[in-house]
Amino acid sequence: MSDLPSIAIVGGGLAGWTAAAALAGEFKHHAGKVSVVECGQDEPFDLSEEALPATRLFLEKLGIDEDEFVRQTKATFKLGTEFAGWPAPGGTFFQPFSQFGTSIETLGFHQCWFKLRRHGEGSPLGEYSLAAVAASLGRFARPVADTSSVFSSFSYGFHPDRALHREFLRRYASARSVRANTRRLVDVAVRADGGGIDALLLEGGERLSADLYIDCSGGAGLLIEQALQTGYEDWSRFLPCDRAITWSSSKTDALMPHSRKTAHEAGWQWSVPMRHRTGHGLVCSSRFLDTSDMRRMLPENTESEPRSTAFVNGRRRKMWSGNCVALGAAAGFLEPLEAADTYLVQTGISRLLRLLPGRGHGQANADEYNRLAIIESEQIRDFLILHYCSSARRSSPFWDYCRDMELPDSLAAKIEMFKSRGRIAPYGGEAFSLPNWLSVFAGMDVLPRRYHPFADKLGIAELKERAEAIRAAIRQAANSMPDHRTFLARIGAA
Amino acid sequence: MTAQGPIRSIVIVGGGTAGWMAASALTRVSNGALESIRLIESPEIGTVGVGEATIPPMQLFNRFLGLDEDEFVRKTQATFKLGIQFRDWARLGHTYIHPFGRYGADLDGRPFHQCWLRARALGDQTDIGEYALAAVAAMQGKFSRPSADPRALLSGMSYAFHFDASLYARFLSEYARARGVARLERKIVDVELRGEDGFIDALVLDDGERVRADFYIDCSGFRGLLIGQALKVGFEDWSHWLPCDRAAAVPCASVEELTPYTRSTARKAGWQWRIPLQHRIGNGYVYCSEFISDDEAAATLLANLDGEALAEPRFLRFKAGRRRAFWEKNCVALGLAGGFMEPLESTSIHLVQTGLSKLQTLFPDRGFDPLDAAEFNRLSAYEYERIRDFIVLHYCATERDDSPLWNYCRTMAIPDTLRHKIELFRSGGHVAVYDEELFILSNWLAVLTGQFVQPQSYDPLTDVLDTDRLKRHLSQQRAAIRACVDGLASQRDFIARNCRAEPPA
Ligand SMILES: Cc1cc2nc3c(=O)[nH]c(=O)nc-3n(C[C@H](O)[C@H](O)[C@H](O)COP(=O)(O)OP(=O)(O)OC[C@H]3O[C@@H](n4cnc5c(N)ncnc54)[C@H](O)[C@@H]3O)c2cc1C
Ligand SMILES: Cc1cc2nc3c(=O)[nH]c(=O)nc-3n(C[C@H](O)[C@H](O)[C@H](O)COP(=O)(O)OP(=O)(O)OC[C@H]3O[C@@H](n4cnc5c(N)ncnc54)[C@H](O)[C@@H]3O)c2cc1C
Repeated sequence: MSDLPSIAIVGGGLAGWTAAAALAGEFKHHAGKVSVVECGQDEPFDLSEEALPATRLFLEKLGIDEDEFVRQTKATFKLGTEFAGWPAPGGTFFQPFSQFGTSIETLGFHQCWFKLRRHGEGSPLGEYSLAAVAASLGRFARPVADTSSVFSSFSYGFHPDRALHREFLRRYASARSVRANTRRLVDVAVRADGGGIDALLLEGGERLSADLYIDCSGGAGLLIEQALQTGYEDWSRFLPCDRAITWSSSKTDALMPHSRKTAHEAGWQWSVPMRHRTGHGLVCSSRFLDTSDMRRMLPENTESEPRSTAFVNGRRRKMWSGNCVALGAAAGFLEPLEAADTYLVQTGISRLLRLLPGRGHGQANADEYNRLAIIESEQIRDFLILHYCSSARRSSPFWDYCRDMELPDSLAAKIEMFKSRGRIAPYGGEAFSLPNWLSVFAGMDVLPRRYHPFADKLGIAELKERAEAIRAAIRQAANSMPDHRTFLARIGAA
Repeated sequence: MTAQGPIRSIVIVGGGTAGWMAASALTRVSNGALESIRLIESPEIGTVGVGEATIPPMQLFNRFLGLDEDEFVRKTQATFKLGIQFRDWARLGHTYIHPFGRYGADLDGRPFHQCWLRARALGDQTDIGEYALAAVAAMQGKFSRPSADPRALLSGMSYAFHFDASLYARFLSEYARARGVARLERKIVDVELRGEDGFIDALVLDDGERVRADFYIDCSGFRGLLIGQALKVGFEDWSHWLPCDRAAAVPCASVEELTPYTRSTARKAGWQWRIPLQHRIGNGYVYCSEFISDDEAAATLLANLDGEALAEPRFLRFKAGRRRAFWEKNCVALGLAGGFMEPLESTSIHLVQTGLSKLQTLFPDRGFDPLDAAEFNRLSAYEYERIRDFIVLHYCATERDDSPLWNYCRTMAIPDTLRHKIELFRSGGHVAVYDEELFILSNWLAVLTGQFVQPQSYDPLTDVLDTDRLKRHLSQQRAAIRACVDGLASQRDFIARNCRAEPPA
């Protein structure tokens, strides 16, 4: 007898259809095991639309052709993010999906770079990143696998239109036996024994039961919170932004292979290039800026009607409780500064597939799932906080607060270690690793007090020469790449 | 007052395996950045002289030093190790192997071991060892280095070494001295600390000479001359989880075809190792003194040798656990001075190696920022604890109830981190692997399945797989491994062809 559990997904947003698509890939010969409940009445909210490089792996696992994905979602490629005004008003740095340089004499490039900077030598860090240089030139090509080539030193993500992205996954899942149920969820029957959810009650009286429930109902957390009362850990003391207004414009001429996040006096603002439009958003903290002032920051005439939303950065105390697993905004919220939300849905559903319990078992699986999910979201949280607490912006209450706020111990230790000797300890979790942390530290002009003593094996003149050779090779490689728009046209995504 | 500037000089205390590994690695990494590296060892005190089995990362260490592997094998009377055979651990009469390298291939994205678990639920009786190349080769006495072609099954071969620890120390000592490390064969009689901050100021030798350095590496063995006796760093005792506290060791004559694996046989009050080298077999009984006398342990050991004993049994005493800090002030402890876990999974030499690699990353300057030490200690403690859990698993997951030691171990409270792993495996055959853990999925699988930790179910997604296809997949894997091993030479032939050692003088 098949032990395959039946699964009901509540919510037809991006999280819901991402989960459905991943399950559809696995359950292909078992029609009817997976269903999605979506009420379909909420128009999808126009959010910033970014997907990290891990999306490529996710698509590959589903057997989806990446070019087809780019064509259908009107996406552009993403080599990283430009952070304007973050170090200080007028200052800019780029966060690339890329390594910086290559190690010199068994020593990481960053340690050599610290030494160069200490001696007033070397170029800004971004000059040693192929993704950063290519992005600044508006160029794009795919990396190669051969690790001896400079073209293997970077990766990329996408800027897909959110609604088209969701529709793409919906089509994929629906073609593979996932059933969509468009009736509104009106109530949830909870098991008396504390074992979780018994059934979903839909509009019109239908009762839907499953072995496992996936809550993708958004921030309300209809199952995980409203029915099971799991609780929410509020991170707004570390990440005080809690409001967003979004709109879009049809202007797409630049078509840059990166997004831009610009800091302002009480938060930040994004622009994300897609092929048919540019997405914009304004993110603020309502403690430091009231809504009317926020409205005043919008451009004179936005082409689409601006829409507002409220959120609270944080995470659900447990992402898996009883027979219910929350994904997407139902599991927690992290402002889209580094586009990690789509990533968390992708890793969440992959983790669930790895730990899928047989019938009647599962507490240990849930414990393991939560252990990993909590580590992951806290690491991303720390990375986001770094953008705020390390900024030298002054003279607004918001940035004053960010400079002085208390930090999570894990982040405080990480910053201290970096300031001491430029070490960035592996954090586990893959979302953001050494190059990401390094680019934010360096971008914010936070440099260590000392560099690795073994960097003194090479004299400053020789080090300078080696670094310059790397910089020149990267510049040359970037110049040999096609223009981003040309590359898109070549794969039929004009 | 804090000193400034780079470390200029290092003194390593101890000329055992740890001391000479440190000396060799430091000459290699510092590559001219240090003015002097000296090593002090006392011929009078000597080394533990045991420690003969290793794990695959040892290859990386040798490669890092630029050693020729065949030469290393010849010079240390080494043989190749493909894994460890465990006898009588789960229950009397039962045997399993913990091989290096992985088990069979995944099918449609489902992990191999889940496919195997499902096949078991369908009545398949094959042992998981039949799907590990190293296990099958080991049982047939075969050996080969891995193939460089990633498509070949043989590319998955993984191996380590059995070697003569004193010969290895001598080999490294030649290496290090040829690269400028100075050796002082003297005894340290006192350690002087600086009044203002308690840092080590000087080592006083038996002839009254004072030796000073910016940085000290304590490789003085169990006594922890610097870290424990001088700097007073305490010891975290793990003997409630790992109660064995003594060993009797004896070499014996080699009598049969060299087995390319270590054997570990569980006994009434501990376990016995058997480690074949080219010129002899190393043996030892690791036991808990609460449950057996030294004489009885020695008698058990001597009664269970493959050949004639070549010496009187030597007795060693130890306690499982680790230093509360491995790096304190201007001193780092490596090897037995840093901690001890019984050699059940051959991890001690490896811990010296990873300690050195951490030291390279966190190499200090004379300012000795306490953060460097704190980071080193955090990483080392974590690493020790993960290995500890793995070793404890061998003891707690047993059916044996034939002696007080096993009754204790079967029912003792275990670390939460280990309990979570066992519960998760019981629940659905999943293996939790903690961040940066030495032992990974395949290692845990070998011991969990070998010691009868039975999953109550398996990954339900394997139910999507067609039964015949699943069975075919498994039988093809077994057949491919058998065919591959059939084509390999015996370890004896391999050694004769490539790296035969001279018989010892
Ligand atoms: C301003 C802003 C910008 C963002 N930018 C990004 C970004 O660039 N990249 C990124 O990865 N993430 C971003 N995020 C975060 C991410 O978009 C959210 O986490 C995401 O919207 C959550 O998607 P979801 O599918 O979990 O929930 P939602 O999109 O809220 O979907 C919930 C679904 O549940 C359904 N539903 C609700 N109630 C019922 C009911 N009673 N019955 C039936 N169905 C119901 C709804 O119809 C809907 O389909 C951003 C968030 C904000 C606020
Ligand atoms: C029973 C047993 C079996 C083992 N099996 C394995 C195994 O299979 N695999 C494995 O990896 N590890 C094994 N080990 C561990 C392994 O033996 C040690 O990790 C390794 O030998 C390193 O030892 P060491 O160099 O730290 O100490 P030692 O070998 O004890 O060396 C100490 C050194 O310090 C010097 N010294 C001490 N005091 C002074 C002083 N006052 N003045 C000057 N010099 C001094 C001594 O002269 C000596 O050179 C085993 C250990 C034991 C006890």
